[in-house]
Amino acid sequence: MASPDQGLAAYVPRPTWLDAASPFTKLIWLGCAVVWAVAIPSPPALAALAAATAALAPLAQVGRPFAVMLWKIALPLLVALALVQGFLVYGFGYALLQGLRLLVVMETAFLFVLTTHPAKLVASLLARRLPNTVGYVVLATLQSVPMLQRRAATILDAQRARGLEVEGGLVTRLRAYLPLIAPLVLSALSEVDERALALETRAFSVPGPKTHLDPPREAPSDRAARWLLAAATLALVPLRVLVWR
Amino acid sequence: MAVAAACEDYTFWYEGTSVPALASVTVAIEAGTFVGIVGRNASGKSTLCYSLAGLVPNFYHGRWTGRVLLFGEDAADLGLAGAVTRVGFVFHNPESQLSGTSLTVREEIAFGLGNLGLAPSEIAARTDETLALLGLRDLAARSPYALSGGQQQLVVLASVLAMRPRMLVLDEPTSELDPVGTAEVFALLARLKAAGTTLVVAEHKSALLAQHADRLLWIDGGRLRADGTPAQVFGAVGPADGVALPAPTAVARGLAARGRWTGPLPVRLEQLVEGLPHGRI
Repeated sequence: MASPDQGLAAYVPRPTWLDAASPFTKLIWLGCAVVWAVAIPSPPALAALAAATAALAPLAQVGRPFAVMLWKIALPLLVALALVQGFLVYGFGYALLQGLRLLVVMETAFLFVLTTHPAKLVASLLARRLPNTVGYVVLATLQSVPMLQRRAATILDAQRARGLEVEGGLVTRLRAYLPLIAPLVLSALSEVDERALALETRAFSVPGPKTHLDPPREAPSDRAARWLLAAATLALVPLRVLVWR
Repeated sequence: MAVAAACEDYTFWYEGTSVPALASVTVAIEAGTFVGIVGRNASGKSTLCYSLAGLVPNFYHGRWTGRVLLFGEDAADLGLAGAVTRVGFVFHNPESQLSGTSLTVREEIAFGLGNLGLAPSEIAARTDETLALLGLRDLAARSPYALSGGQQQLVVLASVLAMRPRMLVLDEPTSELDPVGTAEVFALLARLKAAGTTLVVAEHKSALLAQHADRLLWIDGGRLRADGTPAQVFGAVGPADGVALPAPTAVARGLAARGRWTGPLPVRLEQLVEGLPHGRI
């Protein structure tokens, strides 16, 4: 996860090929992973794809934060899915298939956020004529989760200072989080006006093209990678028709 | 001296209100001066700051009579884009002024420059120049969210200054900072003043205004009640008017009430010491 000094994002710069790849290419990869996960109906094929995706993490020097994300985010979701769909609704086979699909998408998403500079992602999208406002919303959304986590921790500390019990069993902890919701939501809403003002004072609405300190660069390999991703996605059509009928 | 900004018999009502936030305010801010604004909470200080920054009526809407001129042009005609490229604005909460899009201080300072559409080489040059000017080079690679409140406010100031505004308006810039952060911000303002930057600062910390401001405006009930040097204004108002006096002024007033101080009231410690017989109370 993010180092303390990193503050707001999971991304940490690393001198690797995946870090250097264009954010737009990685976004296309994420989109393709969603298509692959939905289109492939074979658990062994999905398991192989999940293993191949996971194998990229150490190569991209993000093995540890990737594993932490798998443990903290993917595992609880997969367990919940297995419990609900496997035992209660559709049976183990269906739960396994859906779980593997979810795993492929989440692994790709984790690698994406761990190796993609958020501002460069938006700069890359702006270079493809994405409106500045949409770009900001995408970026601010990516950044908002850790920011809300920080604020929630502050509110929780304040509540604990006034005697709120937050340690103990699941019910105690869940009960402790209820008083957090109102101040968290209200403080976030009250800051909207200030944030809008701050953006405007930094020329956010000044008309004209926007630029970037470190504009995104496209290597020839990015174009090749996108063609490969497209080809792999198209190759699913005959596989789906002939093999996975 | 050239006038940077001026209110001419300006009255402003926020949308949906019947009581004006500013009433018949006439004031001119001369270029290169440091003007402080004092007054109780909800007296109209922030609205005057917004007006002098062109944010009223371009960001905060409402109706008005009179006009505000920014460098000779009507603020209402300039629009928001015209106003923010002429006047920099900084407010109290440093964290909510961060763009939320930058992983490093250097990127944060570059944010506004990118919005202006400057070439990347120009953005880099201005960013590095501002980092050096404000002594923030050591923080350049740090996350702005990992800094202290004072450092964050310096980064916000840097990001506004990098856009090279012709005037800077600060609305209670140190109200959420500790004494160290407050001192850092005012040390920077002193350097900007020495470099000839026009500064308008609304602030409750009267001792700091007494030390740095050339001129003070006292706002109460949306009206400009006093306009003069710090000695003149602090000599005319007091805690009953919602203005905390600098300690030397308060001490001298107490002495004057006992007949032990004559002459103009001091606003700085050295003035108090000089005015005391034998330098002692």
